[in-house]
Amino acid sequence: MSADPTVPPEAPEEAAETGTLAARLALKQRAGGLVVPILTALLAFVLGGVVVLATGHNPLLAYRDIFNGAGLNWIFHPTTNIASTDAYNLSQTLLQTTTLILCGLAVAFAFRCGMFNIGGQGQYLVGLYVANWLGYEFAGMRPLPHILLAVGGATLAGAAWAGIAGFLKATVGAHEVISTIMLNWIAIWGGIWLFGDGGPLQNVANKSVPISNDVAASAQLPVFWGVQGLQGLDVGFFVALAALVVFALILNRTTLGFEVRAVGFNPEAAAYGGISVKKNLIRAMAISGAFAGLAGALDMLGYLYHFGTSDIPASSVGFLGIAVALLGRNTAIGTGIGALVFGALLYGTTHGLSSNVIDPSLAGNLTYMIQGLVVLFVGADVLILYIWNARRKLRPKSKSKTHPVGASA
Amino acid sequence: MKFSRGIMLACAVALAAVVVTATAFGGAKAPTTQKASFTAALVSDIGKFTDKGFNQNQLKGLNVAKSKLGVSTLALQSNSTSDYAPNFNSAIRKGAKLVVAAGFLLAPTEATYAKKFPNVDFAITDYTVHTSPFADKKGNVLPAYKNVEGLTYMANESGCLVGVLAAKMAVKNGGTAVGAVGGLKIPPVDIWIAGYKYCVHKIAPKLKVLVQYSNDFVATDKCQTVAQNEIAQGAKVLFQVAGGCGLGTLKAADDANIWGIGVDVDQYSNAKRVLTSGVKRVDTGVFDAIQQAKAGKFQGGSDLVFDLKNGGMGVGKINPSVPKAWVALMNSYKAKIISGKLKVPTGL
Repeated sequence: MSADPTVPPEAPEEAAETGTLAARLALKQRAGGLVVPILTALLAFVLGGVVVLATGHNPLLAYRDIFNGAGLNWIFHPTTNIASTDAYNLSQTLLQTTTLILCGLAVAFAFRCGMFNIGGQGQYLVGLYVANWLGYEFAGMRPLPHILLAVGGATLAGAAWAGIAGFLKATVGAHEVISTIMLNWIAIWGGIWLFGDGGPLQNVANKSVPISNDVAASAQLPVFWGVQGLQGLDVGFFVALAALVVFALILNRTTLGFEVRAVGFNPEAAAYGGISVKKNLIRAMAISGAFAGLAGALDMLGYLYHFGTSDIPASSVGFLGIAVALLGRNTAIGTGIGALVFGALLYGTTHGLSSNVIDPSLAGNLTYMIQGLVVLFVGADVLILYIWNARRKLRPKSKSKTHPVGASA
Repeated sequence: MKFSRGIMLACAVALAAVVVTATAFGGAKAPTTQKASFTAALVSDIGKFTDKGFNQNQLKGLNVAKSKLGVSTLALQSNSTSDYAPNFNSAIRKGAKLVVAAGFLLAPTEATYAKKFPNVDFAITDYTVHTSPFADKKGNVLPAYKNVEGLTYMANESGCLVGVLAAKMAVKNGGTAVGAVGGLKIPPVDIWIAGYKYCVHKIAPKLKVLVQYSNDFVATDKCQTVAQNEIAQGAKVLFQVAGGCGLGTLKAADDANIWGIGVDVDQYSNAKRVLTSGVKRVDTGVFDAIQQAKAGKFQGGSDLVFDLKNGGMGVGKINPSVPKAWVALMNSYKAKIISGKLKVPTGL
């Protein structure tokens, strides 16, 4: 990829001044390159450290434990042997990263069309349910077609779920933030009904617990690092990496991507240019939902195999996807890195911090604190931009000043 | 290229970060091996160890085992579904001889690990081994799961005792109904309500027993809504059977100036108008399983049953406004249950 895939050459200069969400993003992307997201993350980590310090623990030691707990110290002595603790931890971190990449892309794609998809969680859950149903119901199929069926069905279900919000926005102007939040709740309660007592997808072997059936062996994704059945790292990881490439290709190399971005920058201008805004709103939401639905499918077929009703409201990967996309600034590479950061944090805080040293409740909440701080700082982009620009002005002779504002490289 | 400077700076930052981490973390030593010979682990469900009830109470049992039996302990919290397997893995990796799973949500994962690690003992709270996935359809424990012990609780017995007081109080206050607010409609919840309902009707056959579920064990507002609904239908006493969520039920009872009944642990101090609490000693269960396993008397492939007789079930602090005669009546029920004269149903 080029150094700057995020700034489309056709971005109209006026857009930067109109103050729309997409325009602000574009401005920010021009201003800070990679520095702003790194600053954002660093600030969040520093403030998270202050919280750890306030509880009477050494934040540096805590971060070291998180780093090791996430298996990132694997790079100092790499091995493919899963019996090594570092290798196991890394495989688990990558498993989380897989989900977060796709949930991040689900948010990022809608963002590029000027929409805020808060419904990643609902779309993820719908994908999870459909993958579970297809994976159980069609037991006995040959593995490859079965996996393709379950993954395809779940992806389409996620797309349809998000498509509802896109359709409502395009036809009656219902704001996607409201409709996706409501669709999340429908997905949550729908799942509780499906897997709950007497529900159609409840476990047939044990009717006394509200847990779904297990996905048949023929639909389980092959594990390439770890032990099949013991939550090893499955091939879904490569699917997520491929999704990053697909995301970048769609946005930057296709007519569809051009139209989506044009609508995102300025719907009026896009419409004036002959692009159907309504069509693109629906398409962008559906593609967003497809990423989230795919995440649900890979989780279900990759390592979960079953899901309980109590697990449904406790799941929050779809919301973490928002932080991932914001940190990754809605680009493919950024989302990939953001997903790794949050995947490592999520796994490292839960499994790296010893419960004898740091209270497990604090350890678990540290991830969410840092997530919240990232969202806060990204939301407060103006502040970071201000600091960034002030730094520029402090320099006696700035070459960048000779460039006209907003000119592309 | 105006971006090159930014990228260079970013690379410099990243490089510095890598160097710092390499020097700071590279020399980190592996954790020292445990000194005590026996290690017991407890894996929470997604209710977490901070749920003021089910999980937290089991953690208490683990900590008591640590101080009284001198065993090493590992408390592993699951913040999400994907934490179950790594928590079992890390317990076994760190040398746990006994892994206790805190509830039915962990049953499928525990089954996978129990099969894979036959030399490690496993126990599971609130779940019988005589059902799937540990047993065949007839309830015979499969050979692969002879290392799994179920820890089951006769909560219907305690449910009956609090039902006696609830019925008395409702009748005294001229009410026509009492209520129960469950978490999920699952056997560990329904067994409480079954005993409660049975004994409410023993005392006052005409009282209606309202039963509704919040579908949540954590969010207090959901239980509060369901509770308010039952209060609107005339309930004068509410029995909460939803863990941390049920604190919302107790609050609703406070607000409406009726009575609430706590569950699992003694919740007398969690609200102003708590009549009493149905106490289920899941801490005792964890402790007993560890004690057995440490002494080499672990009974894999069977259930360890806790009831009023062996003190695994009980009743919490009773509000002083309850007349002595009622307490005596309740104790007569307790004696009848223990002697086997009164059989309380276990299901609704």
